[in-house]
Amino acid sequence: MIRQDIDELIDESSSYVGAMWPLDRAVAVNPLLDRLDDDFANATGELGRQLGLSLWPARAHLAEASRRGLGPDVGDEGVVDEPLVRPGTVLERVRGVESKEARRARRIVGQTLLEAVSTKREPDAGVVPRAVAILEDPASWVELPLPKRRDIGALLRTESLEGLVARLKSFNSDDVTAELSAHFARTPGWSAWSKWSDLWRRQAHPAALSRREFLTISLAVDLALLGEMADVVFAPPSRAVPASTEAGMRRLTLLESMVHAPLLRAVRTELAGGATARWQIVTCIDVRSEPLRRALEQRDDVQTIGFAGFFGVPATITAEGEGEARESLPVLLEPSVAVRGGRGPSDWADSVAALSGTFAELTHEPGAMFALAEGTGWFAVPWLASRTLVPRRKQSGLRDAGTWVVESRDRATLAESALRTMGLTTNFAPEVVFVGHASRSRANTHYSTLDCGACAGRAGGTNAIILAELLNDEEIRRTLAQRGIDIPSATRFVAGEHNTTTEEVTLFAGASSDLGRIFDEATDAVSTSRTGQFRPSRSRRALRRRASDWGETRPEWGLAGNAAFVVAPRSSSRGADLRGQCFLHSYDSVADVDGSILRSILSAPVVVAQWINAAYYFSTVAPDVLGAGDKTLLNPVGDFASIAGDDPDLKLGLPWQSVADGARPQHLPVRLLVAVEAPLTRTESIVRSEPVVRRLVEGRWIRLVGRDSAAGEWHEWIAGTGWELV
Amino acid sequence: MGPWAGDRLGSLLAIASLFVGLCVCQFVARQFEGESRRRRILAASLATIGGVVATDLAQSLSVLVACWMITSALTVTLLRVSQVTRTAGSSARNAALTFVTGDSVLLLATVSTYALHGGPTLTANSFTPVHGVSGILLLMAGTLAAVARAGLTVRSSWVTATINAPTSTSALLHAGVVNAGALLLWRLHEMAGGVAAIDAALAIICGAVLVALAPKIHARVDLKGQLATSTVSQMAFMLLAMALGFPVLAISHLIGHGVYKASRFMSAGGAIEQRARLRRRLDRGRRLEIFSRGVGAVGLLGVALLVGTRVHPEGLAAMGVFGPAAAVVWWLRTKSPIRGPLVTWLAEVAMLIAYAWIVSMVGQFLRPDAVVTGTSPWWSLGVVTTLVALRSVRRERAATLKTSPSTARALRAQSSEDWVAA
Repeated sequence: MIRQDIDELIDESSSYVGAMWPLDRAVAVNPLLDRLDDDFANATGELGRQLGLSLWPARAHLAEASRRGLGPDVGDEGVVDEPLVRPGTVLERVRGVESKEARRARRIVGQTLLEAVSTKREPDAGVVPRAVAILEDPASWVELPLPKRRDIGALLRTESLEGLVARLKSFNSDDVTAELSAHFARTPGWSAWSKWSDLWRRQAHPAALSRREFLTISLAVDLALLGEMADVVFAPPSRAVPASTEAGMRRLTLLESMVHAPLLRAVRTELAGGATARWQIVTCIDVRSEPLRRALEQRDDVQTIGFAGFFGVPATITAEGEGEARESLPVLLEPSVAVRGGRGPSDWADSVAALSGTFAELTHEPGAMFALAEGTGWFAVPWLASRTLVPRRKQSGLRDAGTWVVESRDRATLAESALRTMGLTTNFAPEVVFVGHASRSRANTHYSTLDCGACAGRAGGTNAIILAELLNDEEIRRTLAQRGIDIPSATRFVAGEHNTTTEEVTLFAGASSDLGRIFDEATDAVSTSRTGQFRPSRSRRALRRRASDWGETRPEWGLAGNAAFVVAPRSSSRGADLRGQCFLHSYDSVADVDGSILRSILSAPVVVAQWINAAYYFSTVAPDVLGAGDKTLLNPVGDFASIAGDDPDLKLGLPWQSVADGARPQHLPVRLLVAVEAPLTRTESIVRSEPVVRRLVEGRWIRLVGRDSAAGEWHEWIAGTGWELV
Repeated sequence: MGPWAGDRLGSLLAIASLFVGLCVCQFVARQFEGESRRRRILAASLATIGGVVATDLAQSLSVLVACWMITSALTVTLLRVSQVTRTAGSSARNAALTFVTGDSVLLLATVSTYALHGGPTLTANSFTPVHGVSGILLLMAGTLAAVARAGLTVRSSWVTATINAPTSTSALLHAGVVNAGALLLWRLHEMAGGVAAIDAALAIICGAVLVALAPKIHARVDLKGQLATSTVSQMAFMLLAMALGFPVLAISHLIGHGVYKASRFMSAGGAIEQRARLRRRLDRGRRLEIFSRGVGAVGLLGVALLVGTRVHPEGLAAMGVFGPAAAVVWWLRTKSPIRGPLVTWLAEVAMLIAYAWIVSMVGQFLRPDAVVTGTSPWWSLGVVTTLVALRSVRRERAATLKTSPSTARALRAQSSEDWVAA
């Protein structure tokens, strides 16, 4: 078998593997993103087969929907939770998937990778040589006697992946694909990490691991442990399709009918409001912005607009005092703007960072750790007491964001494109606010999953600042005027950042004091609603405590509950309590003459939202394998991943605490309902002509409903049929 | 005096255990808010803290051993009720097996002591000495129990397996349970006096564990794994101090390490955010980091020298204050890029000096009448520390250079894009 063949087989066998972004910039990902050409049911069924899991909503999810009053509890819909067993790798099939040897092999693969990948100094250094050195090192913590480890090392020294595959006698290419898939399924975390390293990594990462390296080590471990059976002709893995797929889809459809129907009913009538807006507030489409928008719209002089939280600025951002550029845009896009500046950390913060960094290094330096550990222990007494007993964090308020420099050849086009896509080209209010969002939590491995998904798992405030700065630039305004966007001279653009954990909004320099008061009132309304406390001051304190408490596993619910994406004028949903379940993208079909804006919404923000929705879906139905499992067990590895306890497979997806409240499911696993208010013919044309949209809709990865106008009836797009009245 | 009373040692340890234990329980209450397991983990944690405090305050051999064994049982119970995964269940079994081994020997020795000598009362200043074979047996059994509790093995220690339990459980066990051996040995030494052979054996075991574990701490790349392995190493260091005849150092280590380890475990979840932030901010190359490590190590030796020459405690305290103050002033006045590491170094040295002062204060508190004679602990422990550090350096090099250049080239090719199949 030649290299090219193997590379194709790697691609094919890893197509059921999602990508796992590093945890310092985690984004929610659809684990089946390479199978969008398939039907959702088939792809999910096949992934379940490979992992040995049922990936359909459980009985408890239907019961929870019923408990919430979304519909009657209609009982079970057939056998969905049938016991499944992974097909298994070659060693697992010979010894048994649950055998001691099989479990040991899995641990050896994980432990070897863990040490080899995490201790690499150079991003481009190979993992295989590192693995050999580790396996042959007597001091390694890989749980296998040294002679056996040396056997694996010897195999890795002499055989390439092709050579290892050649040892699987009588395997045809389908069998090899199935075998490699079984290796990916054995350690889903490492598989997802290798996939990100191979296909999604745009910058060097010291812990990068290619899929080839992963498979080489995984297969070598199996074959070395089966050493005495080298001449046996191994049976290929089973490819039997599980019977539960059809029943699973029935249960899913039932659950969706319960969850989606009330949302569609809420987005029903066109309500007046915001016509004479003194403030236009543009927030991210994130579901967490919806309660804030609803609270802000209690005032008639406020109009809110939903737009992707990177505010049309696909930037790499280098903040003052930071040596590393950060991407702040949807991971599907390529950055086209470089931004530098801001107010860097203070000298004090810088020195504290230096101190804590070196301290962290020294605490496991054998030369210093003994004295340091106990020496600092005595000094840590007040720190431990204050962090545990009275967790506090600074409040938000006005903040000076410093100055930013946008390095782009056509800054006016950037600004124009953002305004046109958000539908803000006329009727500018005197003060227009772009509000990005960020979260704050302490001792949270998955902190970045609570930040802005449209900003690649970062805080979105900087993008808001940049767009506001661009639009306040007189030269850019003149250019925009020439292009038909006339911004009144009295209009000022300002930026803010919504802390989704505390619901407070930090406004950056230039904002009026009235605006601060408006946001304060909105924060009070949202926080009292969230906490159930009557007094705003108490509810604010309660939320701040959540953000500051290192024992808090649920600082906020993030995007749990997300179920729908509404593409419509805000007037269609204004006043409706959507319970933070909807992505709300403002869209005016009248202004979008050629449909290009709708096309871009359906092919970019909707895709990001589908990823988020799928990540929550799979983290809910398979919390320990496609989710990160119990958060209290998570054990950080470097700054890129975590494992659970001493289980050496990386954890991917969202922690169980992000989707369940301890007693009941918080997130109900349903596909994303995309509701579009635009001429049905226009929507249909985009579905038919835009490949990514077509795949999502025809493959049933999302449910698409549309109506011509606010007065029209909702129709659902049925794959292979077309529109049908809901 | 009843079976429980607060001599200085017991009171100090009880206060420390209560403080850490209550912080952990508050953490448990938050971590499991709204979950059905909250009540049982909280109850088991509180019971374990109760067992630890009762052990601290025990004033007779029978009560001490009974509390010790009850704490062992409660620890296993806590691990059992915290169980989330199958691996966690095996952690509880591992702990149970270890404790049964150590504690049953301690129980037998205690019973035989009672049979031979009646009921000795154990207090800080007046206790019934146990001489002869009984004393030796008691000390041997206590040493074994302490070693078992501290999980002093290179592989499969129950202490390292605790990372399969929730963070709060790991924090509590590493801060309050694993280190009780120092107290047990202190009490038994007071009764039976020192037996050179047993102390020597303990010193050899601890030294061997320290040296063997040094490279493994580096090999662990998971934070909780590092912390847990380092706990075993720290316990070896603590018991080594006991074996070498520096019980005050061991007790101050017990308390300082307990608070430190509890806070490290409870903040473990924030490590990713912290490391990512540091990586972005401190893009100044590894040279400064190495420099910082180097001066940190030199600082440690400097402290050893200072304390070795028995600088007066007040002088050390003054240096502990003036050191950081000078560093802050220097940092305020300069914009040099090395200010971070230099401040770190100065702070480290100051902290170590202050630490030495703390040890001396603890010593004065526990043994106000003791006259400091003989060699400072820092010399002998300094030698061990240096050996451990050297051992660690050697291993790191081995992992990197073990393969020959030609093999390394061939192996690199497997990972490179230029590879062409034969």
